[in-house]
Amino acid sequence: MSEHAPPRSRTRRNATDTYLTFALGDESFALPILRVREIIGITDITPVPRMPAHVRGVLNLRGKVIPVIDLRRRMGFEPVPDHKRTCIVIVQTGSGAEAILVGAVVDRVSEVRDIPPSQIEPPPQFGAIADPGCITGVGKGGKHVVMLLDTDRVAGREELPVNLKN
Amino acid sequence: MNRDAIAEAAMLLDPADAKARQRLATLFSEALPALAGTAQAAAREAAQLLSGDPPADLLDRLGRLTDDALAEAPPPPQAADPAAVADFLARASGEPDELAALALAWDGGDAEAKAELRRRLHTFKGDAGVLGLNDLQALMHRAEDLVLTAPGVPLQALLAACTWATAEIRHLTGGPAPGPAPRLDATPPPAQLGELLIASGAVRPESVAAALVEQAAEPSRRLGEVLVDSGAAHPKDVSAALAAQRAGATPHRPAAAPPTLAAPANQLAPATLRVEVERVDALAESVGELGIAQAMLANILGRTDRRTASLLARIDRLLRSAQDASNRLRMVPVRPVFQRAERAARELAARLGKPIAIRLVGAATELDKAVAERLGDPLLHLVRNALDHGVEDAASRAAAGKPAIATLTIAAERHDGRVVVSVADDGRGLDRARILARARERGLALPHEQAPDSAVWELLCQAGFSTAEKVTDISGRGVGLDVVRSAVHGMRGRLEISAQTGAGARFTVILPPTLVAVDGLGLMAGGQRFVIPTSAVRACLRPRPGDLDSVAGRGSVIAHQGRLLPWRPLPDLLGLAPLASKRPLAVVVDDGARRAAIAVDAILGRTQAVLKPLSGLPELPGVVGTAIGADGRVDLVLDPVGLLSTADDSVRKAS
Repeated sequence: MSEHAPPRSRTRRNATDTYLTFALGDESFALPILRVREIIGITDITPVPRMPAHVRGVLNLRGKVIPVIDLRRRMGFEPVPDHKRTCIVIVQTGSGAEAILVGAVVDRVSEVRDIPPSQIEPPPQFGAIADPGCITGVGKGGKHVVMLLDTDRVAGREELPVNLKN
Repeated sequence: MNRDAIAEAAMLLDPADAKARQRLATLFSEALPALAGTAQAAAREAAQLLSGDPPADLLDRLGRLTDDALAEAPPPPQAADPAAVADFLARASGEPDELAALALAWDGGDAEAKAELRRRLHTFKGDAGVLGLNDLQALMHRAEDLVLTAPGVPLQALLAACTWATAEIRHLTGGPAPGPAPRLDATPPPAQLGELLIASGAVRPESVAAALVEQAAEPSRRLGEVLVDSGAAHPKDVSAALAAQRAGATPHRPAAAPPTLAAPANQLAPATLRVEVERVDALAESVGELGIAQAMLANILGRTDRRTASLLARIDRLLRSAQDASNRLRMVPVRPVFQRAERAARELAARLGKPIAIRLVGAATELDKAVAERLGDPLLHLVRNALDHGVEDAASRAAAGKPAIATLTIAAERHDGRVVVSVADDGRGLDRARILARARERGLALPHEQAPDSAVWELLCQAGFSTAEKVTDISGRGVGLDVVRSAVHGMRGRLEISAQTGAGARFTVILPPTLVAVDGLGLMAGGQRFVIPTSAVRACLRPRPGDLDSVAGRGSVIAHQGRLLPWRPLPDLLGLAPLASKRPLAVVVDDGARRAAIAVDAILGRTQAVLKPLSGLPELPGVVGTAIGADGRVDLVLDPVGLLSTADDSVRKAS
């Protein structure tokens, strides 16, 4: 049986080259699939006081309370009301003891796509993105170009305000 | 001696088979010059060699022979692993007390306690021996010997051994060295005069106790003298008792020891289980989740029919008791934390040359393990402050007419469902005028002239105050008090200070018994639900129009029980969506120092909230964590202290 089974790499070449793509407005973005834990529909989010505008609040993920950021606002787009296709992508940021789950609100989830390093170009130094540093590259090869996001940079601990006491 | 022992062991084996006997002899002779561990292994192997069920007394004897051999074997050439020793000491610190309890139970007529005592002494001795704690091992060995060979119950000797073992363990963990180990002797010590007098009915126990205290002050006087001089005993009775004492009388003891001492061993030392904290946490979490699921279910089904409703109510009760039980699993006595503080206090007192008597009160008070752990540092801080700044040097104490030995009391008690921990000294107290002067110097906001002392003491907890380099100059206690206060706030507790100039000070920390659950009141404000701990809520108000007054530049106030309270809409305090209601309600919240009416849209009733941290988000003033409501939504759990301090800020900003 094992001899005739197709090598696994044919179906999934390399998980590190696989991304979840999603839309913010008209633009396509992607997060590494290895960081994505699950995708849930928009749900009740409890606002938390004294947070920057891109922190929507916290939600209950099966008994765990996790922070939720609005990726539109994080990337500098105008906010829009939630709609039917609004999703929350649950990602893991940080690693080891520092690892936390964070929800990222996106307009629409598109697909899971392989983007090998050969199809990735360095990020552009222009555009309407609020924080160009969180784009690690631009994926080509599909219908649209996809901006690849640095998970820790967009949703990591540093992004959540560290000290609000002052 | 050891050869005889081996021969004796070999003889005992008769009529076991000859090969085993020979092997046993070889093993012993090999083991003798070798190390402790080897001899023990040899004995074990020897025991296994015996076919069938060897008689218990033979095994017993073998064990003791091995121990004799061990006692004569050279000590291990290398020092035992310090980590292993530390681990042993941590486990062993309570053992002498338990051994003493067993000895008392045995004395009370419990035969099982004797067997248990012997077994425990043996294990204790073995552990001590393996780690090279030779004095402890030797003493426990003698104690075990006594248990086996003494004609009666060698209670005094055993208790002496336990007392010394406690002191020795404390010494090994950094305490003072105990005196030489007691010589254990099976014959009971001559009866005490007092004991004989009480037994004969000539003197009341209280009189003897009083006389002993008096005698302790003047060791040159004999107890009989003191008793006669104070008129508590007739000289004739005393001389009769003295004669009886010389004749070797033992006081007539009541047939049965007091019930606590006579309790069976298994009641004295309840069976315990060591469990990792994570497992307990996992249980607490599951029980918490169950509670949420049950509440959701009750929401859906609650109004259907009576049978469902009563079943749901029953599940609710069961869940509550499960929640209680799982919370209790996390409870530990505060004693170790107190003992650490006591040790630190003794060290510091010795260094400062300030003689001190330390009293630990209520060390058995239980609190959540997490709270106990986090209490350690603030408590050390308070103790150090008391010794460094509170307790005067010998000259000042003498000048103030105080006893040369200062008293430091570290106490804990349960009060109103909260744990109250205090550190009190009889030192110089706090000096209002000097604290105010120093605060002015440091540019801190000053309370008004007639402010109560508590408002002045509050200055000590401000960060600016405590960075003063020479706090001792102002008889202040500023060192790290802001750190103490923020640590206490971090545990949802509060710090209270009471003091009088010249007459000592008391620092009180009031803590919730647990950090995982909170008894709360559900609130609705600006379309969002909140939970506030009921411990902070003094009253709920429904103000009529006209009850509110506005004070220029300070927002609104409301009269409540003859006091004007600041009126603070909850969303304003937090910076969230404004109140929806035209006629808001209010909860009167008190954090011990401040009181305010916090306005909300609705009050939803009591709720038992399982606290979840705001993981990934920073600590927020005014919010202590989150809880999951019956509908699965996340509610913010408010922190009254933080909330009121933000209220203060807003007052200051506005003024």
